[in-house]
Amino acid sequence: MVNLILYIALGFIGLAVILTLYRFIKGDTSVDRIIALDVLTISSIALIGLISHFAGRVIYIWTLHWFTVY
Amino acid sequence: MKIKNIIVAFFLLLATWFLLNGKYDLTTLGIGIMLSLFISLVFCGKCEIFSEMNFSPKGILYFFTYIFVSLGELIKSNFDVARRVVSPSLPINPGIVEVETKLKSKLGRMILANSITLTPGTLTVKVEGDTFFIHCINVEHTDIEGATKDIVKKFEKYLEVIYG
Amino acid sequence: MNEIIEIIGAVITLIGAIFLFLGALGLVRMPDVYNRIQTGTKATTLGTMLTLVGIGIIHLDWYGKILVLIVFVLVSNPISSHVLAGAAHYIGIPLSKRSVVDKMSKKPVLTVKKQTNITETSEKEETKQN
Repeated sequence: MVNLILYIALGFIGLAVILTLYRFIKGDTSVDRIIALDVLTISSIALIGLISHFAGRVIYIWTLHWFTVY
Repeated sequence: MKIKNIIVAFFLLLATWFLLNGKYDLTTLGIGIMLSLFISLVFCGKCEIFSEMNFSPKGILYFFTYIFVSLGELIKSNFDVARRVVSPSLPINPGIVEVETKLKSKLGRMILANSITLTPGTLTVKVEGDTFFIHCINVEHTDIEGATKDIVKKFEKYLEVIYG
Repeated sequence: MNEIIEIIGAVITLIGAIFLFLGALGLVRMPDVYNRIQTGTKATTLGTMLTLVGIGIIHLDWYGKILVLIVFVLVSNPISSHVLAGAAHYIGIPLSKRSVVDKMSKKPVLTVKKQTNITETSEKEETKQN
């Protein structure tokens, strides 16, 4: 059940990335392309969060553990 | 004032360190205290960011109230913009208006401009002294007083206490 | 009980993903640069926040990193959109035809010699609209 809802969310984020790529390729001015790139980075953060759920480990949002382990 | 600045930066860095690590034992605490003391002593001696803040109980209470108020505004105006995007006729009414603020401290103005930008529908284009130029997706008042009352007042009454 | 909490987290993630999709839709539909910045970089901020909060509810032991990520997104995102809007106005990209008022084109953004050219064109635009 949880995984089904999260797959639907993954589909919505994929659609968002496709629409953003349309604006990135077509963009009337250069500022439009920059905005599309900005939106792409923001939505990729959400995508990485979802992927780290499916991978089952926190390694994608995993920082600075090595300092205390070693 | 310099001491206050260093102390606030130290606790902020220590909190970030604990949130990043996710475990609370003595080794983590020792390394965290060493690192945040070093960074705050070296880098935060000259900057004056936190020395304008008001750390009385009333200021701290207003700070947390301000966080919840701005989060509520964020969600409310996000639904408004989503409704405008989805509806087929695209009911927008854009324009750049001019507002004025009464805040004097630099950090207070920065947080005010960031909050205005973070609520969808309003976007700070330029800050010039006391004057903010704001791009609205739906302009209701074009004069300075009306626009100030619409956009700035709801954040300003909290920030005036925090950065008083 | 555990199951219910996980389903609540998944639903919050789904709402965030829908906000991300609506932001991208606004990026395609809006008529000029400033409105695209409005819908593009701020609906997606709430979308990313809600997605990360939902993941944090499903895995309760990740909350620290999720909180730090949310704070970084909240602080850095408005600054980038503010600077982008200022740069777009500085290089003279006009507002769309549907705009009501532009208080800013009367005053030049920076006092540079080349700026006079840009203000002239924007004033022409205004007279054309009137």
